[in-house]
Amino acid sequence: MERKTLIRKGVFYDSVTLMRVSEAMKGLPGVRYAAVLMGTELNRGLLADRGFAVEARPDDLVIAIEASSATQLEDAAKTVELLLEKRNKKVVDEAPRSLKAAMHMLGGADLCIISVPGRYAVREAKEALRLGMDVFLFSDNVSVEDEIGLKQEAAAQGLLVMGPDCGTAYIGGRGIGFANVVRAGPVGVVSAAGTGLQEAACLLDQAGLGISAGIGVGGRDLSREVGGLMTLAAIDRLAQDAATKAILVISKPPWPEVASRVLKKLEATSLPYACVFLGQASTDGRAVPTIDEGCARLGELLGTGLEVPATLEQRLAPGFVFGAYVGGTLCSQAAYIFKLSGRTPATNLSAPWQDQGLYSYQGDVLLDLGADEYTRGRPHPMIDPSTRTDLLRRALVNPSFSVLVFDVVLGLGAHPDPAGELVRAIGAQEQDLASRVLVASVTGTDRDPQVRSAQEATLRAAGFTVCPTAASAARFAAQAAGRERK
Amino acid sequence: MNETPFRVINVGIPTFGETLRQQGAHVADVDWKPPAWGDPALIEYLERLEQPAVDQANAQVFERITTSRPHLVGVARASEVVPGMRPGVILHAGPPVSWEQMCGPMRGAVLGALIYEGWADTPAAAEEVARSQVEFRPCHEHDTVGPMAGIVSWSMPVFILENKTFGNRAYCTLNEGLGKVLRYGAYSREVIDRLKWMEDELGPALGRAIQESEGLDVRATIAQALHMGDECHNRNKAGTALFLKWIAPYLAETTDPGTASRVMRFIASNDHFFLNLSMPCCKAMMDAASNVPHSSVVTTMARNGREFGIRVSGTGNTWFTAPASSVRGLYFPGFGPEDANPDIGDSTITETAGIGGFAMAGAPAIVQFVGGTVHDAFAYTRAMYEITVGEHPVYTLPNLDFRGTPTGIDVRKVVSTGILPHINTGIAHKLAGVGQVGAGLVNPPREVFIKALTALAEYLRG
Repeated sequence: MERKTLIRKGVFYDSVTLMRVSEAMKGLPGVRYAAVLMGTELNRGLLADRGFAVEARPDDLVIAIEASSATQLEDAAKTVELLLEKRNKKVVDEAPRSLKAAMHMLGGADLCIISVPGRYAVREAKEALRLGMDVFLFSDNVSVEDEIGLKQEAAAQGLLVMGPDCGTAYIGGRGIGFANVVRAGPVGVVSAAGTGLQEAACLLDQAGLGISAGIGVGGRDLSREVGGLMTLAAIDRLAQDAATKAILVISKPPWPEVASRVLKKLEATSLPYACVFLGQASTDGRAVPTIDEGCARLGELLGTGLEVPATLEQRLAPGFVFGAYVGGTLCSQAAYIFKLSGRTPATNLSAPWQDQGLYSYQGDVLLDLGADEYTRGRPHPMIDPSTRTDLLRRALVNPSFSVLVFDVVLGLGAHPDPAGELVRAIGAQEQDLASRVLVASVTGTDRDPQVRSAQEATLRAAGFTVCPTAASAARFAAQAAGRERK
Repeated sequence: MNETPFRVINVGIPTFGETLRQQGAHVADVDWKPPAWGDPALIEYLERLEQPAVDQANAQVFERITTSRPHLVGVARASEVVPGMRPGVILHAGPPVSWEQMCGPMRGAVLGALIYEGWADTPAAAEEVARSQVEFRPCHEHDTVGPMAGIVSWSMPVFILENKTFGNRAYCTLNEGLGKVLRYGAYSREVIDRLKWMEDELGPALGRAIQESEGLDVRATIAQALHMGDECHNRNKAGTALFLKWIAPYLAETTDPGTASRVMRFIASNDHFFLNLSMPCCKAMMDAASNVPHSSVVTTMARNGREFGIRVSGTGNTWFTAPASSVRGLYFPGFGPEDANPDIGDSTITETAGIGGFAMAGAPAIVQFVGGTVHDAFAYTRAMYEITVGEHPVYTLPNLDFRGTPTGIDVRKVVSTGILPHINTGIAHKLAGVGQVGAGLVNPPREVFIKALTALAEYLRG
C-alpha cells in the first residue's frame, strides 16, 4: 500500500470540480482512495480520519491518494493534473423537443413540415397552427375528419394546411419535400401536392415561365367532404402575392359544387388562370383535362408559347399497356387519358389491385406505386426504385403487355439515378424487348441534381421513346397499343 | 431564388430539413418522440385535457404565482403560528408517510425532535413515542415546507412569510448549517444543543430584527440572487449574503453585541441559510395558486425519502405519488451511491415555482454536479421551457438575455413531451445522522405525472 499527499498552495477550485476529479480518480487502476479537496478544517478532519496528516490552509489544494503500488500512485498523481484541466464535453442534447421550443430557437417560424406517423401528425399539425405557421403535412393515414378539422382551423386563421400526403410544395421561394429546382416566375400553382405539382413546375420552367409558389392541398381537398377548403385558401394566398400574375389549379375531377366554388374564386381574383381537372374538359375552355394542356393554356394567356417538342415517330405494338408510376397524379392522368381514348385500364387508384395476376392478365394495367399497399414498411418508390423493379419482373413475363409506360421523377430528395435504375431493371429481364414499345417521360429540370437531359439520354440509349410530358407519354402508349381488343 | 429569411420547423424525416437548409432556409429540426411515451390511452387523456378551459385555468394559476409577493414578516415558534400544530404533531417533508415506512434520515430527525422537545430522554424512548404517540403530517398540508427530512415540531422557530398580494402565509424552520444536522437525521447532543440555541437565541434575535424592519421582500431578494449566480435551491451563496447584508443593521439595533455577533457568525458560516427563505417564498406563491378548477399546473413537488409526490392545482390536495428515484450526482470523498438515501425533502418547491434546477442557466457554477459544462446548464433551463406555462416576469436570467425563468409546470406538457422536471438536490446518507454525502440532479418518476393527468382527465369528464 502506497500513499501520497500533494499540496498546491493558493490554488482554488470549487468543490464541485474537486468532487468530479475525486470521483474520476477512484476509477484509476490500483487506486484505493483518492481525495482532491481544499484544505478546510472540515476536509483536513476527513483526511485525518483516513490517516492522512495534512498541514494545509483553506486556500490550498490537497490531493491525497492511496494506491496498491508506487507506479500506480505516480500515474494517479499525474492524472490529477490532467483532470483538473480537463473540459467536459457537453452531455445534454440541445435539439428542441417541441414546436414551441423550435420556434423560439428560430425567432418565429413560417412553415412546419410534418412527416411523423399519421396518428401523431394531427397533434403536431394542430400545435403548428396554434403557433401560427403554415403546415406541410407529408404524413398519410390522416382521417378525413381530422383533415377537415385541421383545414377549418387553418382557414379561420388564414393559414395553409398542405396535405395530408403532400409530397411537394414551393413556398417562400423554396422547394419543399420532393421538389424540382425550377426558376421563379409569375405562375402560382395549386395542386393535390405530389407529382402533379412537380410536373407543372417543370413544364412551366421549360416554358420560361417559372412559378411564384406551389401550394399542395392534398388529394381529397376538392372532395365533397373537404369542400376545397385549402384550394380556396391557397387561391386567396396567391391573389395577395405580388409575384403571382397567373394561377394554375390541378386536381382530380372535383365534386361539381366544389368545382364551381373554385372557379368562382378564381374569377374573383381577376388574374389569368387555368384549371386542370384531370380527364375533364369544360365546354367554355376554363378547365382542361391534362397538366400539359393547362400549362400551354397559361402560356397562351401570358403570351409565352410553350416550346413545341419535335414530333415523335409513333410506334405500334398491338396489345396491352403496362404502366408503373411513381407519381399518383401522373398515374391518374394516364388513366383518364386512356379512358378518353376508349381504353379501360385496371388501376389501383381507388382500391388496391390484385397484382399477383400480372403475369397472365389480359388488359391494360396502370399502377400507382406510391399507393399505401406499395409503401407500407418501405420507402416511397421515388426514393427506392426496387418496388417498380419487382413489378416489372412479373409484368414482362406476360407477352400481352406490348407497351410499357413509366414516369421518371427527378428532384431534391428523389433517387440519384432513377432512369438508370429503370434501364437496368428492364435490361435484366430475359424476355424479348425488341417487339415491345418502351415509353417514358421525365419530370425534372436540368438544374435538378439528376439533370433531366442526362436522364433522358440514358432512357433513349436503352430504346425508350422519351415523351416531353407525362400526358404525352400516356397518349403515345395508348396509341402504340392500338385498338383495344378485349 | 428568394432573399427573405424563411424559417422552417421540421418534424420527422431529416431529409426535408436538409434540402431546405441547402436552399438557404433557417431550419430547426425537432427531436421528435411519440407523445406520452407512446401510450395511446394517455394520448387520449391528453387530448381531452388540451382544451381552452384548462389553458385559461393555467393562465390564472400562472398569474397568481407570478403576482405573489411573499415578504419575510417575522420569526415565531411553530406552535404559535403553524396551522394545526399541536403537541404530539410532527411535520415532515414530502407526501404522507407513517413511522413504519419512514426512511433512515427522517426517522433520525424525528427521534432528534422528540428528544429536543423533551418528549423522550433517549433514542430508544423516542422510538417508542414515535411509534405510538406521534401524529405525522406532511409540512405541505400545514402551509409549511422543510428541507431534507423537513421535521418541524412544537418549539422550533420558523420564518413567517406573508404573501402581500393574496394574504396567505408560509412557514419554514431556520437552516441549521452543514455537517451533523437534524434535517439529515442526526440527533446527537450537539444537534440538540444547536436546536436549543436556535430556539433561545437565534430565532428571537432574528424576530426582533425583522420587527424593526419593514420586512424583507423575499421574491425581490431571489430575483437579485439569480442575477448573482444562485439558483436558490442548491446554491444560496448570494441569497445568504444578501440576507445577512439586509438584517445586519437591524440586528445591531435590536440585540446585544454578543448575540448579534453569534447570530451573524452563524449565518455567515452557512451558505445554505437562505434556502429556508427561498423555499417558503416559493411555497407562499404556489399555495396562492392552488385549487384553481381545471388547472393542470403542479403546485407541489415533494419527497419523503421513499416516495415522490406531486399535487396539482385542479385536483386540490390530492397527492400523486410513486417511489422516489435515486439522485445522479457526485459524492463527497469516502461515500458512494450505495450510501445514498432516495430523493428526499420539500426543497423541490423551488423548481415547482420556477427556480432551482429550472434556473440553472443562471447558476452555471453548479452544473458540474451532474457531469457537464456551462452549456448544459443552459440546455437544462431551456428544456424546462418545454413543460411550463410561461416565463417568470420577475425572475430573470442574465445569461439568457434576461429571459424569465420557466414557471408553472404543466402536467399536460410533461406527459406530451416526456420531459421530466430537472431538480437540483443534495444527497442524504441512508442512515440517520451521517448527513449530506453528495449532491446532484434528479427527475421525478414519470408515474406521478401520469397519475395526475389521469385524475385530471377523469375529473374533467365527471
